[in-house]
Amino acid sequence: MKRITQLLLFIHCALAFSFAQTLRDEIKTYVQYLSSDELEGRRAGEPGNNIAAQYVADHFKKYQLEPLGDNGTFLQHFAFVSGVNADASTSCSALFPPMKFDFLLDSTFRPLGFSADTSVYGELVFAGYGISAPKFNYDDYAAIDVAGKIVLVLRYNPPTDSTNEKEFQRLSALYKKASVAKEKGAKGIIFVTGAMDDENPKLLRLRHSNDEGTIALAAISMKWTSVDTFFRLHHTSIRDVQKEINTTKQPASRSFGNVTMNITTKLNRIKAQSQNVVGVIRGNDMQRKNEYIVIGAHFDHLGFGGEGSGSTKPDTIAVHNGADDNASGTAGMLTLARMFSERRNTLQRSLIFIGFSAEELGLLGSAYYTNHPLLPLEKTVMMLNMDMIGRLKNKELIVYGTGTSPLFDSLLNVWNNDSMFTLKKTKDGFGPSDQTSFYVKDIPVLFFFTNLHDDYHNYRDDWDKINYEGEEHVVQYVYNITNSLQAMNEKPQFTRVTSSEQQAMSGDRRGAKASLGVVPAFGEEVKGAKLSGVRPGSAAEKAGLQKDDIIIKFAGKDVNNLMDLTNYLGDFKPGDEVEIVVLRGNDSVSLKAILTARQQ
Amino acid sequence: MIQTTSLLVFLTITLFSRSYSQQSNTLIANGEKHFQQLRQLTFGGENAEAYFSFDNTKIIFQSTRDSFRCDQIFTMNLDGTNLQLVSTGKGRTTCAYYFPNGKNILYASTHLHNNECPPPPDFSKGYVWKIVPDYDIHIADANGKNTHVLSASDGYDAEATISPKGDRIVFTSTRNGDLDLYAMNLDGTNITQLTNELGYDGGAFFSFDGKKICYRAFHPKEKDKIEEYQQLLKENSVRPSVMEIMMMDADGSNKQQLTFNGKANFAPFFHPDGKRIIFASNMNDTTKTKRNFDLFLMNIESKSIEQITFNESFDSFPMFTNDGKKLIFSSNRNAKVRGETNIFLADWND
Repeated sequence: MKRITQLLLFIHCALAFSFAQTLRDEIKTYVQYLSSDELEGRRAGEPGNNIAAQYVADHFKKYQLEPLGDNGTFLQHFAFVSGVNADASTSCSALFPPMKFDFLLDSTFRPLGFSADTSVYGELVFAGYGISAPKFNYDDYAAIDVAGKIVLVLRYNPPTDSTNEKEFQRLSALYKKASVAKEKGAKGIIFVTGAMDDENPKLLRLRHSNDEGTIALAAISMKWTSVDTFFRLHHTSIRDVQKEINTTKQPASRSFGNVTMNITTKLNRIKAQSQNVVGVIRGNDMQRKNEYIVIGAHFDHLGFGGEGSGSTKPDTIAVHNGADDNASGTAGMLTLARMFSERRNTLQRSLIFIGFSAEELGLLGSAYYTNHPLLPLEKTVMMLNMDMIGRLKNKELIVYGTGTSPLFDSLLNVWNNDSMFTLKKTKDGFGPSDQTSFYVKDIPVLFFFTNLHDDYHNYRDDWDKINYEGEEHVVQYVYNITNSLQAMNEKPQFTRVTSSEQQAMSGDRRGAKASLGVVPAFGEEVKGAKLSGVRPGSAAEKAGLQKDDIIIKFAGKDVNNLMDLTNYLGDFKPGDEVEIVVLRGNDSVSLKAILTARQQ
Repeated sequence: MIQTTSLLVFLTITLFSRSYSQQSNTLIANGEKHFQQLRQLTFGGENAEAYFSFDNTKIIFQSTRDSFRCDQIFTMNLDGTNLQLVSTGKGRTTCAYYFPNGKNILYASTHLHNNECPPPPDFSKGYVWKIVPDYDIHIADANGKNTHVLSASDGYDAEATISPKGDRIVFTSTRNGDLDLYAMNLDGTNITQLTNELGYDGGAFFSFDGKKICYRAFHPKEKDKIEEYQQLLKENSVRPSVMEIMMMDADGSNKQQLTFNGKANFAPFFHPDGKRIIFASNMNDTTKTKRNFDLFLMNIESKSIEQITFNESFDSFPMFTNDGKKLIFSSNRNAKVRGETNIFLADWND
């Protein structure tokens, strides 16, 4: 009975909007399948992800796209680090004669994902919260010497007034604290969550982050209960010391005297494989068919969620179906592939359709594609990305990259002439999805996004919450824009968005890190950061930096070593302009660089 | 300086170096027995009001495409190749037509008043057409160069077409405060008013012998309808929900109403035999939205009407070639997205 009602309804609507109804249904079909429990959340490296990839490939085949992947298939395989575990040789012990404590891996200590594989031995020093912020009159390292030693630091930061809160939070990131410790000369760092913050002591998770590298020291976490012994030796407790810092807002760093630590860290990085799905519809114009427009969407998601998966509800292990993120964008991409396939004989430029994998793990699939393009990247004239386009609300459509080509702004307005959308334009091409991988290669990008919602990155992002009518409008809009771009005589020229034009990104999920593109000269005993070269096309090359230059100032700050440079760089965003002073021979040369995004 | 440079670029570029016409009988809907073949000439965007040059070798039409914010005028060959922008790229344009000599074109444009697009209609008062007062009728060389004003007034001047005899232009203007039809010589002189009934008289075309004019009209009779019409016109709008097909002699005499269905009938065009008129209408649309316009062919003598197209969306702006063997029209058929309108060329089977 239900079936008949639906059929009647369909026929009635079909009279007025025959094509529209079909498009909406088509999108729904793709979304429902991709976000079904059968695909188990499509986590890169897992079987459900491979099934999703095959589904995309099957549709590419159905729509007669030309396969561009491995061995005549649509699949472009790539390896990535899916996780990390501690090798059995990892150990940690404390020596305070005549006593010796051996700590147990995973019960009283655990290495961190950015730890180097190393073996260190040194005196233990307590460095408070591990924050060095002299300009806020707070420096845990001011009264102690940690060179060659192992520092014990608390997580988080001491209470501070609201004006400094943001800066203190930034300085309290684990990676940042470890970098500072390294910069101060420490050989190892031990994190504990202070007793004031954690009544039930826990170890930090060992997780791999593709956004982080390793830091050249041993980094582990311990429980405050395990290190409290060292404070007791000095007739105090970790709780009292933390209370003292929090109350006085002054450091209480101290040496433990004769306590030494022996730490060996070795991490095994687990390799996994996933795949992008890549196909092309060739254009017909003699010249322009050799110019490519990429239409992309990632099809991977978070699997079953849980700790470290990126889930916003990590305590619930359940299939994270990712209907909006990003079955919706994948459905849009497949719908466009079908529509353009039906008009293939009218295409001028060629269209490359790509389903990206491992976006959720740090844009891995798209970064792999742009580093291993299947058609020339220099002939790739632009990239359109759809990620989370299924929750259109109040007609609000976010578009990133509107300043990456002079053509885009008017084109976005042309096809919105009936004010279907309230457009929220961000000029910047950097943003929390795959278009970033293309933008860093100087390719104009447009990224369409219907904003975050309460179900973002959790198990409630289901197909029945998608606004199919809204998504249909978005897909139609992207179609019109793509159709104009493929036919235009002029290809879109690339423009870099300068930092003053970068707007606050609404719904930003992951900030891109700034890169200068220098190749450091290791093992050179100089004051400053000596270069053994600059990467082609990098910010450094464009700024005029050369081999053998020694960077001595970066944005007004003295650079004593490479780590200084790395840390200062972390204080900037891609697109920022910074002044750099280098020693070239006996001359001091001042240069200006516009930072780009760090490659994964 | 930027303005000038971009203008030059607009005028000289040919947007497509090649174009493709899609010829497929799948484009023909069930019941469209007069169509022997149907070709699609444009693919994507909003393309409409396509009219043949008098030698039937070229097509001139309006299109929103690429990065133009609203309609501009383009020309192309009958197979869709050699597409060229012939308007200035500024303002909004509409209603283009070739001169009988093939060397000139005319179109209505707002660009002298504002380089930007006029605002879109306000649909809060229901479905209305905008009567943009900034429209003037311009004449230009067939390649778009040497644009100058052919006829302008304080109000709306547009919807101009030319007699095959090569003597007169018929057009619509609000210069007397109401929407009426006027005729003038090809150089813009000797203007005469052809209609004076209160209401919208517009969209006129000459018969092939130049003796008759067919057009669409809305003549409100009831007090409230008259007031609504006048109020909307003050706001530079009309509501095109009721329009009838009309016919008169080229001098404005012998007016005759041809349809009486109270629906939206518009875009009439004479068959070369002079005995039939093809037009667009939603007379058979039973849905609430009334957006399904089809083409109908009327025998002027007997008033019998035959439905020509059966596509379930929009078909309109029909025009026959001189020999009656081809019909061009605009349609939503084979649209990939909502609102996409393309130009189609049919081989006509009488």
